[in-house]
Amino acid sequence: MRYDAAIIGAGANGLAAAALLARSGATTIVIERHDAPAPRLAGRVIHPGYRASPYADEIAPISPSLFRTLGLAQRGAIMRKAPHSLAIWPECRHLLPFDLASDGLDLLVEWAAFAGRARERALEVAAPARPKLASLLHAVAASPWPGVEKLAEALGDTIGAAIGDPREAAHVAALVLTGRTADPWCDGSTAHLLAPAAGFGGVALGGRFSIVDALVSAARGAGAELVLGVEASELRRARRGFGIALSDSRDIEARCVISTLDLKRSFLALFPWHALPKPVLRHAAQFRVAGATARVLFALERAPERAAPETLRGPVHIAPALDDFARAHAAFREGNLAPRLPLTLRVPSASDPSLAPPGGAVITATFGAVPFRLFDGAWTRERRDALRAQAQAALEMVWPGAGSAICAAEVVVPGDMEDWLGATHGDLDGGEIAPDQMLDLRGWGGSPRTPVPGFYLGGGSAAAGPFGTGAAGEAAAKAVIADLARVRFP
Amino acid sequence: MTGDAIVIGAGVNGLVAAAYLARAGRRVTVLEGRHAAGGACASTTMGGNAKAPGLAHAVYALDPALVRELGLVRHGLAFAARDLPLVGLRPDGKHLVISRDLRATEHNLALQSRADAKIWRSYREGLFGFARAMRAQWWNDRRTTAEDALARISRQGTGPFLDSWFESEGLKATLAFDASAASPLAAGSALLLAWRVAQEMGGLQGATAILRGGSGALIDALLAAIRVAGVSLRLGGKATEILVERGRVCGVRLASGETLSAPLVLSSLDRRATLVELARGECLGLEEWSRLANEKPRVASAKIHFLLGGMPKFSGIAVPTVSRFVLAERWQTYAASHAAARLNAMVPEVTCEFLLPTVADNSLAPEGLHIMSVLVRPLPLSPLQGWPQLKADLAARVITMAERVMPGVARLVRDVRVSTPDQMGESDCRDATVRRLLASWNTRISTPIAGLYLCGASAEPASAVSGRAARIAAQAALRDGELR
Repeated sequence: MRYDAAIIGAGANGLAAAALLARSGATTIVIERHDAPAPRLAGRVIHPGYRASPYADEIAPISPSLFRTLGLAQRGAIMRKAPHSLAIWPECRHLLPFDLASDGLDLLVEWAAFAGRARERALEVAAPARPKLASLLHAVAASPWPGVEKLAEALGDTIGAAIGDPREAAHVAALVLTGRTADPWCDGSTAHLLAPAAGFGGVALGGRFSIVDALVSAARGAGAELVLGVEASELRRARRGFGIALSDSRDIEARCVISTLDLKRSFLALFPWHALPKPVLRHAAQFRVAGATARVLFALERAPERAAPETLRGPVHIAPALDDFARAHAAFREGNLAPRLPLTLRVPSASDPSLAPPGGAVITATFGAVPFRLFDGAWTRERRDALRAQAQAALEMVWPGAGSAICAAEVVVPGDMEDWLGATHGDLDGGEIAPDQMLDLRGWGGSPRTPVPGFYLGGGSAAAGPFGTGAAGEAAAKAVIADLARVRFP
Repeated sequence: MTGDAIVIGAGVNGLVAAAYLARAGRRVTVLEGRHAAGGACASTTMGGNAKAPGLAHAVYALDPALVRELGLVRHGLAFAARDLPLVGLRPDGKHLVISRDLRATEHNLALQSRADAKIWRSYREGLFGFARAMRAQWWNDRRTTAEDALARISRQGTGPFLDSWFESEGLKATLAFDASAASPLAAGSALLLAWRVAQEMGGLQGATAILRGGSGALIDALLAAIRVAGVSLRLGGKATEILVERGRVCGVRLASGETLSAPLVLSSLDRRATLVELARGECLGLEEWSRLANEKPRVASAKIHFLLGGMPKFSGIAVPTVSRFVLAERWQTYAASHAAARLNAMVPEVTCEFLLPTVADNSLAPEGLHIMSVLVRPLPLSPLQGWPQLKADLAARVITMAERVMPGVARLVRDVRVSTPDQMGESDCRDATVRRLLASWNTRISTPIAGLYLCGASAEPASAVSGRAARIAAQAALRDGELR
């Protein structure tokens, strides 16, 4: 079979790209190794009747233009803003509703706007056919980036300059660094303010599946072919495009390929290594990934009884000071777990009742600064249990008595995320977040195009990757549509 | 008493500024709080009559223009060694000798990694070339021609930058010492590597030199130069206040209560000490004032001198003894130390550079005695346990590390002197490295108070014995005088 475009990975990016490409008239195939589309969005059964996403509870924002073009709302996906109300434990035991913390909100709104502009710019860059790389780099590095020099500062200083109150500053840091890690006193950590879902993600109103279903129906409705349970095992460069060997021993051909895998995997796993030019291999080797997220998923027979309503709505951060993030990061760098790991508790079943049976609840604990590899051995059962115990202690502290209602718990460490999701080192951001990574190493010059003609990056590691659900897929599809329109390709 | 100009501080920068002002015919007074000139360059004596270098044990950034214009060579400045090789000492004995001789360096690097040896030439040529292009900005305040490379490197940390070139941990750790004033993970810290090799000593780019007679010799030459020019130097004259009238500086008050008046004041203290402490926040906006007043110093360094009763012997392959030696395991060690130091905790592992100046210059110590001069960086400025507690421990940790590559050195130690960060009085403040490295000279030296200029090491792109800031500040002050 010969296609105009083959897309590897049927996540939000892959499905968005497929829908856009198929709408433009290109014959499109999406290859997904899991049996169901968008495993990252959908979640899984953690106990009979209980579901949760092992990766994240909130969904990074979907750009309004993508939402409109694909008609996602008509297809049943309605997004609601995730609640900002949050609390911080344990030193200041009282709640600090974030809506009132105006300084911090201002800072985040300002940076979310920066990120939005950067996303728009990434789409602009994708549209024209192959302009010169240098001018691209310049275009990307210029206006959309909120003053490149701001990125080079320390997160703690950026927050401190905007917010005087140390508790509120810790709130903002916790919000930005949930499930991540950075030393807030190290120059360059401000780049984290650009990262996705910094409290501005959303939750799907009809449950997590509604958004997956809407994306699948948009892609299928436009005529894209969706192949599930099949892995692309090798990519060969052919005379006119690519030959793709599939794990079900089929062999297909495509004029161009969009990979939604991360940058390392896209080049080091899909291609035979001798088939790539040296600079590309060097770039892939230089690219840094830093998975740091661990999650504990609890299924509860009954929802916490003695609970302040705010704690059920919004995330509860357990991270008393900026210095705790610095300590946790220092330990992370050495392959250690800090004694006091920053963590965030959420009750996803409060906003999405489909996740738990009536009366029950799903509570998640998200840890940051958890290393992929421990310096002194593997992630054994005891170590996982220690994480669970820490999460359970936090849960008891916030909702006294809730611990007795736990009927199942599952611990997910970065290694599991790598195994299940295929993200190198379990990095859910598609790469470490630092100024050089954001501006120079994610993709090439801000474009989804790569030095391999006809091969595009449309996943989390692409330039637009960190800026929202489906943004990188949208940018890659725009680039492919522009390039396919030219007569001789590739 | 009145004069044309007052210079606060008689370190290298203060003396250079005074010399330039006096050569232009101004009546200049230099105030020094201590009872000897020299600042970071003042030598100390150990064990009776051995001369130990001051805090700056080697010079690598001395401004060639001022050496020429002030005739320092005529005033007795000479090199004991002009181009020290950089030696990374490794516990396995395969030491890394990095010198100007490309072939020898490649041959030596191949002991650790063939790939590193192969790529060394292009790394060195690339970095030196970029650094030369950056001189336009760092020396002459013009835009550099290497803008694309600058944009890229000013976002990169030293660690990832070195990782992109080399594979051997030892080589990366050795090279990273020169940028260890900032964390190797900090965005833009790689620019410090380029800044270092943009400098020139004795006509050689990126060379590190030791002066004949120790770094105090530079002070002696400068003192001779200002004596000829007719500058008056007041030792023990500590400035306590900079007097400002209607937005213009008008003089300085001393600790003794005496007031000196002058229309120009050049301070070699840092911006915070000058503007917030001495000038009492005069002419500063609230925002600027609170930024400076709350500025926390990041990390600091310490200086340790060991008086040795003999020449230490290096284990492993032969190394040139007139070198600067680096003891550091991996570049990540610097990152861990910076993270700890920023939280006021003692560093988990010490990283240091040391010299044996008495080998190059036998006038410094009596026959048979040697000085080992160690620069430990990074360290916390004020650790929670307090420096008096940690002082002896720090020297012991350094000598234990040295013992692994120089067996028997601990038995040679006759005397130890430790200058901890709290005694040195100078430290880098929390200003993003890149912002400081790329600021224009005008923003570095000028202040909101007319007639008041900063001329100290903290006005340089990166702290070093250079004198360039002082020369540029003095020239700006002279122009300012003419305009009035």
